[in-house]
Amino acid sequence: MQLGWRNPEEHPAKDARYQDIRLYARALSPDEVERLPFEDYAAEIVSHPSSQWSADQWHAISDFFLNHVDPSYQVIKRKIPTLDKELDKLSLGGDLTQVSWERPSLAYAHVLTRGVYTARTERVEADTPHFLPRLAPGKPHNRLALAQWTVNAANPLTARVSVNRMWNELFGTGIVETTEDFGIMGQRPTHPELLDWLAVEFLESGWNIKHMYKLMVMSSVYRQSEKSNSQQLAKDPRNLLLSHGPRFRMDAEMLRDVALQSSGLLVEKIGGPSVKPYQPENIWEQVSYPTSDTLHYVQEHGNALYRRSIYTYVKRMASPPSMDTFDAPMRDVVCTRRQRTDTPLQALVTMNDVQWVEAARGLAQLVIRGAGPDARQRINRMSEILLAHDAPTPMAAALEASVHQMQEHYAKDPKAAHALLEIGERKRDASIGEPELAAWTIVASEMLNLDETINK
Amino acid sequence: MKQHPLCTDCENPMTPLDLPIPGAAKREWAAIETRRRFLGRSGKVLGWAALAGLFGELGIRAYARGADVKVSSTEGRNDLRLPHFAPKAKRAIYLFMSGGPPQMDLFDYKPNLAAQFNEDMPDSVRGNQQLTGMTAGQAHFPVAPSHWPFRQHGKTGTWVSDLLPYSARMVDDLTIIKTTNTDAINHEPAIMLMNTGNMNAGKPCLGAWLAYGLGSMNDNLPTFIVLQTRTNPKENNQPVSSRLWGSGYLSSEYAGVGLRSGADPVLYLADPSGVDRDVRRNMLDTVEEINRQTLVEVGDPETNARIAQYEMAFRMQSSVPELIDLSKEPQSTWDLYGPDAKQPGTYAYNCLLARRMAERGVRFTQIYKRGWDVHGDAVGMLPVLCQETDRGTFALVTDLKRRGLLDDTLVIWAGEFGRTVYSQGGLTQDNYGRDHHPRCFTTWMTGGGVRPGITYGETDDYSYNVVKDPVHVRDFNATILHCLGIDHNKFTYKFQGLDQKLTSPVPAFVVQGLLA
Repeated sequence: MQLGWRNPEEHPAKDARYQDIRLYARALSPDEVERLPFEDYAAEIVSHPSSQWSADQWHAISDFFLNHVDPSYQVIKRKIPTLDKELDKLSLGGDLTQVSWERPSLAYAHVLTRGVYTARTERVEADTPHFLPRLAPGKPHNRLALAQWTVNAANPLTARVSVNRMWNELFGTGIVETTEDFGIMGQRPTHPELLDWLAVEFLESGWNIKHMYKLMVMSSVYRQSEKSNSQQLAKDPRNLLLSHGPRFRMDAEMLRDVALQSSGLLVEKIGGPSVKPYQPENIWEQVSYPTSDTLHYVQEHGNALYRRSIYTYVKRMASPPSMDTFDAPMRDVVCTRRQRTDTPLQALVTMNDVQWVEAARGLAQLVIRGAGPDARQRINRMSEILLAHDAPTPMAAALEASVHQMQEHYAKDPKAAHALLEIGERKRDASIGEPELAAWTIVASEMLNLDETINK
Repeated sequence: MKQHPLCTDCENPMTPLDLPIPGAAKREWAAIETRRRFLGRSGKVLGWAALAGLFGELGIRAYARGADVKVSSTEGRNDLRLPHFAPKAKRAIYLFMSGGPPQMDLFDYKPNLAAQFNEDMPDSVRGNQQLTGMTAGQAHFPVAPSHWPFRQHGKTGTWVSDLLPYSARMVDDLTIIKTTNTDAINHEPAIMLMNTGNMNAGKPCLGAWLAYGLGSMNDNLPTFIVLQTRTNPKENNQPVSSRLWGSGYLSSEYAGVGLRSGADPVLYLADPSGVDRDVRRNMLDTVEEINRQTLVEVGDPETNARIAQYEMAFRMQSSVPELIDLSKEPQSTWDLYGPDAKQPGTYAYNCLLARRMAERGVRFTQIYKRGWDVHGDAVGMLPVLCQETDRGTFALVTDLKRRGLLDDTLVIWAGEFGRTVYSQGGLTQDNYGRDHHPRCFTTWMTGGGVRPGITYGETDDYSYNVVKDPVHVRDFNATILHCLGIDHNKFTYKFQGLDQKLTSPVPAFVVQGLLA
């Protein structure tokens, strides 16, 4: 007798261990071959009181019962192929896509001592932390149970965590600064009662996210001016007590979207597959397997270049560098709270990236076409588009001086003007003289690079 | 409401000094208290600290003087009180051999193996080790002696394989560690452990720690630069990604800046066509003028940081092209580095750039060379890999030495693990493959802080287990930090309630036997 050989060509399994070997005195019928290994095992388990059964044994018994004892199960089981087909049909297209299935067997994991792959200790099954509410009793500990537990009104976390993230998005810092961690290792809330109140409001509104955002942006605390004085800065440099309105650098996607929107380039189409806009060469190749199906980045053209940034294709090993530079996460570990840094590399993106230069040209065209010939009018229009107010006199003066210098420069060097306007794939407005458009492109780029533009 | 004892956000926070705990613990708390205050993660704090990370305090101070700006948060760096003691090395260059070079084909000479060709490695050597899925199913573990002869070199008579004729010439300068060992057996966790001290993603790498702790030594270039070697498609290239030079929970300013071979060495560095330096200057002046108005109007100190960043960007636009302009390198450079060094993206080219960065005060340079993952056709691939790297490595060390830079530069050569003495797949008279091996692998260091001309640690007859003086990855990293003047136990960053450090929670030790 040979054990552990799948077929004669292969090596036998080395160091294999066997849990159960049974010898029978006669040849078994095919039915018995199918049944006996389970029946004998089940009989052994049943000989012990059920209170002593392990989870695995429970599982074995229910398997055996359903497959070999319970006739109604067989009836239901026969329907499965038809139902599966129907499910397949339903999941083709449509608004809902099933992305995961509950695994049929018991889910478990081993605790690894210090994460060492060979140091297995205890075997554990899914459950909630002991200091939080229990899962509903008598139901399997699966995704459904987790989902129901998550949105149960008795769960103290979900509503608080959710409203805190909304707050974080609007105010730049959460009421609990560590939006990812409400435990003892996280920060304490700066305004615990407000957090409680918002959480209850969220629950009672029927988990209405739009309602919460509206509530927050219409609050007097949010509508405060961003201006701060030295006293405020000295007492509360991080504005944790919200003595003035929020002011912080916009997130990567938001910045790119602002550039696209303000320049009239934005394509507002909703949904559809991800797109591959401009990206410097050799970003993917540097990090990929030679056989990777995302070895080469093939940039798309036309509308794909101007979709909102949430539609940008992201390869986890090499996220789009213009967004990576602005602290967009790599997506290899969970991130609920981004860093917010200011670096010279960011200045290089907003000054030199094709997308931004093209946006500057688009913005220039908009104001040249739409605001008449007067420089001050055009500057005011740009300011209105980007900053939602007229340009204050000193700002306008600086920009006017700049546009005059640039116009002189590009009039003397039409080749340079032409080269600058060739950047980007969107056709430029040929009705505007090249030196003029080039000069205004530079001024638009200046506007796009202002601290006030880049900050929310 | 009852305060958590460690809460520092409240007006009168309780501190451990108020708790009924031993006096020693209170003293320790008092000692690190100042540092804790710096550890916020808000943009307001980071603006200036970040700047310091990328371009050094000098740059900020110079700028701040001109602009009459008070630099405040660089105090954070002073709060770290780094370096902890006088460093032997001011900068480091890490030559990372990704994939796992086979130690017994390069440095770990095992003359007895030739007689055991194709014999099964005794089970007792392997013990109860769990192998990778690639060889766990093998019925036999046939010993594959190295295909290449070894010879003794230098005054020290160090054995080196004929695969490394150039490295062999500098053995008297090297500190060879035969007993480096790791916890991980597959690339991703192993390469993460090697670089970040932890198998899981999300932790800062060595370079980020150094950028955070020591800051920059120059005004015009990043503190931590990563150079990737162009891949050879014939080699088995495991992917590497920016998480290896990421900053984890430290501010992302401390992440490595990738320097690319080609027209744009730093992404988006070049001005758009049609924009010359005068236009750019004019543009920056206008932007700054308006930003100053904003600063007065709104009063956000971050605006100051942004003004400075734009100036730094302008300076980088000339300093980086200067860095990679090799036209003024004398013929002696090319004689030393070889013709490969003229090709951007080659390992030799990157070695030359690493020397130029060392001269210009870049704190930490890491060169990645992929392709060492020789599961099969080791006899075909190793000569290629060695030919690509050996001369560049030798040239870099020699060049640094000639210029007097090796005294305060630590050069590190390492992969993420070693390879098995037994052959993966078929063993023939002419060829073999080698699987991953975490229990021992050879690395070396040279330069500031380490003892030249020694071989540290001993492995067994099969280069399989450590017999004497193991050097765990954590110890390896602790030793690197030591050479740079950092006590790895004191160099921590509070995150998720822990004082995180490069050498992770398991105790690590500076390997005294490696130190000069």
